[in-house]
Amino acid sequence: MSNLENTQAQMRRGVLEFCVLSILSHAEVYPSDIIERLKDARLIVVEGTLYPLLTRLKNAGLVSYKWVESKSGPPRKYFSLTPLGEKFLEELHTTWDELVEAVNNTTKKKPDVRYET
Amino acid sequence: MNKTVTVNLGGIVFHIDENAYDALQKYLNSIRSHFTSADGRDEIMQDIESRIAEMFLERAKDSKQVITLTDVEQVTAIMGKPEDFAGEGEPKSSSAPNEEAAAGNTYKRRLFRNPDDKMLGGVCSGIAAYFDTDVVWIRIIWAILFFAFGSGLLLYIILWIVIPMAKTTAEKLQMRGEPINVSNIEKNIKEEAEAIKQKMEQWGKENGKQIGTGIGRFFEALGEVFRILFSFIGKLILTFFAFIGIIICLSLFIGLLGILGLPGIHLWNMTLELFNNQSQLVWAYIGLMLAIGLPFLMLVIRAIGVIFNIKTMSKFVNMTALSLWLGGIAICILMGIKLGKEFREDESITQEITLVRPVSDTLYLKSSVANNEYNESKYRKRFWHHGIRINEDVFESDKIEFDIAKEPAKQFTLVKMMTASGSTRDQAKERASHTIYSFAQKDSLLVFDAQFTLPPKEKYRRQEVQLILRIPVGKYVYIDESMHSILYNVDNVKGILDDDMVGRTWKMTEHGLICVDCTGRERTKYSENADKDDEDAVVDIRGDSASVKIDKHGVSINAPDAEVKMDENGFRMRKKEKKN
Repeated sequence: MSNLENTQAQMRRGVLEFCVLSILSHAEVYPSDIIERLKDARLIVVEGTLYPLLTRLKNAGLVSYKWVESKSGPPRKYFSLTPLGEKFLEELHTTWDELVEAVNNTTKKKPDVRYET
Repeated sequence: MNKTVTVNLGGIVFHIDENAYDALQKYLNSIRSHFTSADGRDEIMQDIESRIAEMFLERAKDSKQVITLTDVEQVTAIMGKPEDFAGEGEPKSSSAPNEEAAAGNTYKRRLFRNPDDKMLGGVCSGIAAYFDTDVVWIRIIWAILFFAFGSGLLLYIILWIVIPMAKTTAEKLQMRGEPINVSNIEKNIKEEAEAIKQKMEQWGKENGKQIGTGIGRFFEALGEVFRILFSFIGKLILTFFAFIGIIICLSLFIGLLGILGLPGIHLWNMTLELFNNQSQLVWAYIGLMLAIGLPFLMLVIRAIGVIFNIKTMSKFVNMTALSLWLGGIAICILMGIKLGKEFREDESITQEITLVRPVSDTLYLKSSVANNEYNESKYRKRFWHHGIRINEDVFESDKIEFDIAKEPAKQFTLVKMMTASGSTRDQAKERASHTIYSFAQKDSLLVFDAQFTLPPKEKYRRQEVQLILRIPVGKYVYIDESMHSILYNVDNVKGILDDDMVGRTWKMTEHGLICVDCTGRERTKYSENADKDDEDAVVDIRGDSASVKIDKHGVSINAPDAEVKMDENGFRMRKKEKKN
């Protein structure tokens, strides 16, 4: 993996958890739906990424799921946020806003270089 | 055309092509090996499997019934390679700059042969990788083992068969794997504990309502503890068996080298004394090795496979081993028959030697057994009846039976009878004549050798020597203590046992031998039995010269002329020397 790709992957990975939690906050969703939305946003490439992530979030108590029978296959897990997850998401939102501002400030401003004499 | 397999994926049954099945299996295994049970591996696998099942269902809808390799390839492309999402399970490793090293570290180390650095089969370098040492040291150890009777060679071949070659990149990574150290062992234990905890929780959730959760958990935990304990003990026992097996294989192997005539190894010469020529011996040995050694070898291979968690032995190896084993048994039977033929006929040669008339009336009998050997031979006679020894090239046997009888003529006479077996009577007779046995007479002193020998290169064919000293009526004989080892059931009027016949003087009468200087406390055939079994005897009639006895040992009838015995040794009838 080249350096650029690696860095890009790291960046996406960093925000992935935040995005997944956001999607879950709107409605109870099935992993396939999450994947569709993430793929549209070009945040993930392969589906396999999602399952370990969801398992980790569930083990951390941020999300929970219920079983729903499906006509076209095995029963599906529908995920939703727990109260703890909602609080967590709120925190992340604040952090994200701060981060966006900080990043914008850093990247858009012309460097203000001062030399001490 | 393709063979299909039926699989259960997420609770749904699929028909899947065999090659597609292999690909899917490989894919799922590669994912599994990327997660630890602490990551929630079982759950992740479940989720992924049911998602794959869903995607398969979509593909199987349109009149197609079988999942093909293309389907599997498409689905796995959508799901992604484990390397692409390995970081998710462990957020820590995603920060590692070197992805591949991070991924490699999550492999559990396994024993493989190394195809990239090999002299023969890559066994040494594989072992070096497993123990994280330089391959040079392993090779040096092997070279030393090789010179230790070639045991290294055998071990190398076994390991070559047992240990699989690291073919794929994943296997090569596993070959190096995680270093075995304390923190890793700790990690393994933690994982194990985590898995148990999860299973317990799951079990508790499912059954908690019906049974007290506490009790359930306790038994569940107990079960797990026992399971782990048993698997550990099982491995320990397997290791022990593997060790024994290796020792047996090694000794058989060394034995083979021995008979093939490698210097520095002394083999039990008996085998060569038994077989007609070297090639027969070698054949017999190969047969024996295949029939006995091979099962042990397979045992060792199996055990090593289980201990190191290697899938061992293909069908081909199994079938080859089975046919070799059957071949070995066939060779053994053939050689057995061949050898048995050599013992088919018994024949003997009889010589009658008239002894020089001694000055006195008494003949002194001695045996050439050295004093220190006396006890040994007595011991041997009692337990094994007769012993055989091989010193250098000389075969020695003390299968000598010495008896005393009455001589109708006036001279002391010695009858020497040498017996041997052979495939034909002539051969047996020829063999018997080769037996070397000597005795010496010095006036009234007769000295008998306690052993007879065979000339060099003569084979063992159940050679025996029987001696009968015939004494004229009215003459005396003194039996020295040293005669004990060759005396064999010498008849006398009172039935005194061989053990107590030595050290005494005997006179030949019309009725047989009579003790001249006995104290009366000597044990006899009759008295000994009577003493022991008095209480058990059912019928016990004793006259002056004859007796009938029935007890738990059987029936025995004794008369001056004959005796009849029925007991654990079978039925015996013996005629004693007739009265004149």
